[in-house]
Amino acid sequence: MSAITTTGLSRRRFLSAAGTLAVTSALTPGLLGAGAAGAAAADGEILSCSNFGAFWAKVAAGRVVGVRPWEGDPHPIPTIEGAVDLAYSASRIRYPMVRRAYLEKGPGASPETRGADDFVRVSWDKALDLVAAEIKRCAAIGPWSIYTGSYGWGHFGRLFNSQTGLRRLFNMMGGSVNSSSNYSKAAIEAIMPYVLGQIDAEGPQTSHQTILENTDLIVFWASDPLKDNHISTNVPDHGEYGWFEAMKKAGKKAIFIDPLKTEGCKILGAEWLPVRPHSDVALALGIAHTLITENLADKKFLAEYTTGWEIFFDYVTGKKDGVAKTAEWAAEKTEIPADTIRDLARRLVKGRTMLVSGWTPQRQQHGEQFPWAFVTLAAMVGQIGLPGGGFCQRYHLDNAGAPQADSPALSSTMQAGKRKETMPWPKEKGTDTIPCARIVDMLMNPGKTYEHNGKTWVYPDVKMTYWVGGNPLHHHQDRNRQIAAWKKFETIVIQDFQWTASARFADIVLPAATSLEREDMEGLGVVTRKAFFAVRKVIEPLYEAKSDYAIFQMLAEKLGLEPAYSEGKTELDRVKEVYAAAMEQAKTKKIAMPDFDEFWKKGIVEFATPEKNLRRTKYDKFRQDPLLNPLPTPSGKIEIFSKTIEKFGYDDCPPHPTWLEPIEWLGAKEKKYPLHVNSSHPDYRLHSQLNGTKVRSLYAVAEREPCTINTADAAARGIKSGDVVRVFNDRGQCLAGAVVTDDIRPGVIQLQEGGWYDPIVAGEPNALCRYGDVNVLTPDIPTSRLAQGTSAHTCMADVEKFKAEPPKVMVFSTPTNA
Amino acid sequence: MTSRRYDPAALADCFAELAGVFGAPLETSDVARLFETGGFDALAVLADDPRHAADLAAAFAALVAAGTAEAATSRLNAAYCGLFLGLGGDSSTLPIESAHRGDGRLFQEPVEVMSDLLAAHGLRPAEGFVEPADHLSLELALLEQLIRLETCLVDADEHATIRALRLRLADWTPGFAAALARADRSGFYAPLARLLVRLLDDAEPHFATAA
Repeated sequence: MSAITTTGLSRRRFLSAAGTLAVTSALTPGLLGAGAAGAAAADGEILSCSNFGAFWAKVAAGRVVGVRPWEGDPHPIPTIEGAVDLAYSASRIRYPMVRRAYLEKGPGASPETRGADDFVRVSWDKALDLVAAEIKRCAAIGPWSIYTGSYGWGHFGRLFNSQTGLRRLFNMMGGSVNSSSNYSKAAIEAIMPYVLGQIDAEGPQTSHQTILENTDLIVFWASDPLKDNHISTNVPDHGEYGWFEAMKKAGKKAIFIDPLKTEGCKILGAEWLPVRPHSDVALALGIAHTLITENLADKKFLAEYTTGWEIFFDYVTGKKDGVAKTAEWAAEKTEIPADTIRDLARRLVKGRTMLVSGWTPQRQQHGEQFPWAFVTLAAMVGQIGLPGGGFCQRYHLDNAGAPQADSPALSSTMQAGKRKETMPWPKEKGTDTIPCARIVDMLMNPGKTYEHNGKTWVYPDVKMTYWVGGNPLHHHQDRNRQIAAWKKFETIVIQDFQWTASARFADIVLPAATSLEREDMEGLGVVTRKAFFAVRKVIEPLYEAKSDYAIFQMLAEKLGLEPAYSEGKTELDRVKEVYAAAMEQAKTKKIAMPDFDEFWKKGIVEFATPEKNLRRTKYDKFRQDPLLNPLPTPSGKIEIFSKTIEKFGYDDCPPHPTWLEPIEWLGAKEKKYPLHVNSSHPDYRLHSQLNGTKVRSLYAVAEREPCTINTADAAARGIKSGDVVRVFNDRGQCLAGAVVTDDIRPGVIQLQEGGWYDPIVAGEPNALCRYGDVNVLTPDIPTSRLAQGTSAHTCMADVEKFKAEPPKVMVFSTPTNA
Repeated sequence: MTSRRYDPAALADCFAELAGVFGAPLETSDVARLFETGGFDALAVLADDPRHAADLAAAFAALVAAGTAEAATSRLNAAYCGLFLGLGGDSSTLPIESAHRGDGRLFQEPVEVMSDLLAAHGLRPAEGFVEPADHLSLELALLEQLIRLETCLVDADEHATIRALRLRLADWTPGFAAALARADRSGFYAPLARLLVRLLDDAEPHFATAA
């Protein structure tokens, strides 16, 4: 073992007693070496930022000793401390580590022991030798044998998106299999281009000010803007809270259609329609039927701005299938009274109405149908393109209704590039890109075909994966199926800064630096674009962590790809390039920016938001003249019926919005499990990020993930708040901490996604997760052949009080193999 | 059971060996040597004290229970990674003082204190040891060094520093040892942590007053 555990420490010297010492400078045995301590960063406060907000880090002697929110943040969130705790977390990956069996026997060694086998600390040189050797081995087989889908949010920072760096490396090696779309809104991304000619659920939306001035009724449908806006892909501006305060002050009428009574609903004193999960399409159809039968649909708008209305009309009225989608029909499915549905339909057209949806209903089996039905409903209301009317599918993220500053865009100089064609990639070897949510299907079905968005593809036979800045053993559904499929990988490399479940189930683990420990830059507000922040090195990299850039550079060196990979540029060189490109844009737009040195010294450059940008109405130009400003659809109009999708012939994604009963839901005539599982985004995390930090103390119940349950459901099971409960179905089981409340409708429990997987016996089928990873329960089935997105919200289970002595949560404490 | 007096050099040796145990995973060669010699090195001097003997026996029994040096190394490595290297994350099992102070966040005030103390003595962590300056092994290594200095050099006066450092260690290591008693399923580290706490107590009379 001595030969492979080259850690740089000599245990023999360590164990030997030192001789007597003549002078202090001779005190050099074991752990202590002579010489002054390394220079620390300057003391004082340094402005920094994160996916959770901007903050001042107080530094003393090279340590962060305090954090306070940046004064420009209108609504700092309590998780901001987590940005620092990511660096100082006890679950930090400190050294390059290799799973023992892998170290001793090489690729493919005992994959069944992943998660249970112990790790051995190795030197960086050794770890990168192993990684480089495996990349070379697999590259020689063919690029189809390497999977670098590496889904996740990546590591924070604009300059060096870690996934871009990863793909650049593998493209230079001859290519690899990548992933497309995401676990967030794959169904929307797939269906909306056929309906609106664009994804729609991204970028600036109708502005908050426009809503404040024009909207009479705002309907939040499965949308919780005050939750997801606490985080962002860049630095969140947290402006959504101000919008809600303004709406409250203005007495704005609001309705929340949601199984949960959200914070936003409470703030606005809004009506709550606790719809039955998975019945949203039925509700939309019931409303549509009322609009038709009461002659409330805007026929002029439908005629001028949409196609396929007649076919949809026939479907809703039952001409096509003999089933009229009446309010009563919808009431039976939604458990919203028919009178309420009819009343809702009337209110939608009574004044100016903004329909706002979230993404939960499209993360379900047949998830393409709800967004389509939702947009169709908005078309029937006829206010699309009018100030304060229409629809929005992204108010819950990135403060998308905020005005945009006059600022240059922030780009990246690091490009993934194209695959170097070291060998041909025959079609029979499989596709070079899979939908990210089909990774387990790929592992289980190499060489087999699958359909996606109108085409047929072949799953490649992958042998290794390199994952950076992601935690697939949180993101993906049906954990037990995934754990079984994960054995197919002969090598799993994880590059991260925390011992996530994915790292624990890896073969080679490389310690990455957090954003506190490297140089980068990032923008404030995806939509508002109000500032650029310098991401300066606040502290030196802890332990043996290195920046992603440095790791890839070292790996490129071992693969003979340097200096081509880095182009001889340092991280700071690249930051300067990004800034210079922004300055060029700024000059064109006549926007003042300081030079780089001044920006770097100050840590921020802010941009003004002109008054004229306060008001914005999405699709206004389309409404003004659909011929001059057509949508990029085949017809140039909103397509309620898609001939393109019709040609695909998918029975799981018909060519117009359609009610399709899912495999499991509360409305099923026969159901094995009685409770719907809502696995929405977490209140205090970014997916699984921060679960391994002190922030967990803000929400954990009985040291576990909270499981919100209705009072009646809890009483029927003898459960009270604070109890440890077992949540289970045929796919898996986990423990959680009960939160009993009437803020969730009966028949529904909420267990938010992102809890770290903590199997009581790693690798064992149906192992009990001690912490509360909801994805042990969710199914790994696609939305449809169109999107092949996740269906996490199609999930039924049961809950019981856990009467035995609850096992200690180990994923944040002692690992199962200790 | 009352504490006893130790030869300072032997005490320093014991702290050095314990620093080694908690400073890095034991490698196969280390474990093989323990198998061959049938016991610990410097710590063996404590075996005539029944309080320490029980813990030494327990730790050694946990070691040999694995069967072979290779198996024992693997088992201890797994425990070490889980308890001390971050695969866990429970601050209470970390051999780091900050984890046992205040809110338990790492790299807090004790790091600064220890960094200053090391610098004042012209010292820093050896190359390859990148744990925080308030790591148990660094604190023990420094204590060992200071005891040797105090013992061997006529003009050295480290008595107050030794007393403060011992007090510091004695203050936080009981929590660490208690956490290991709960969490260490290898059976190796917990008894040695218990022994360390006792040894620090035993050392108190040696440095209780100014020299």
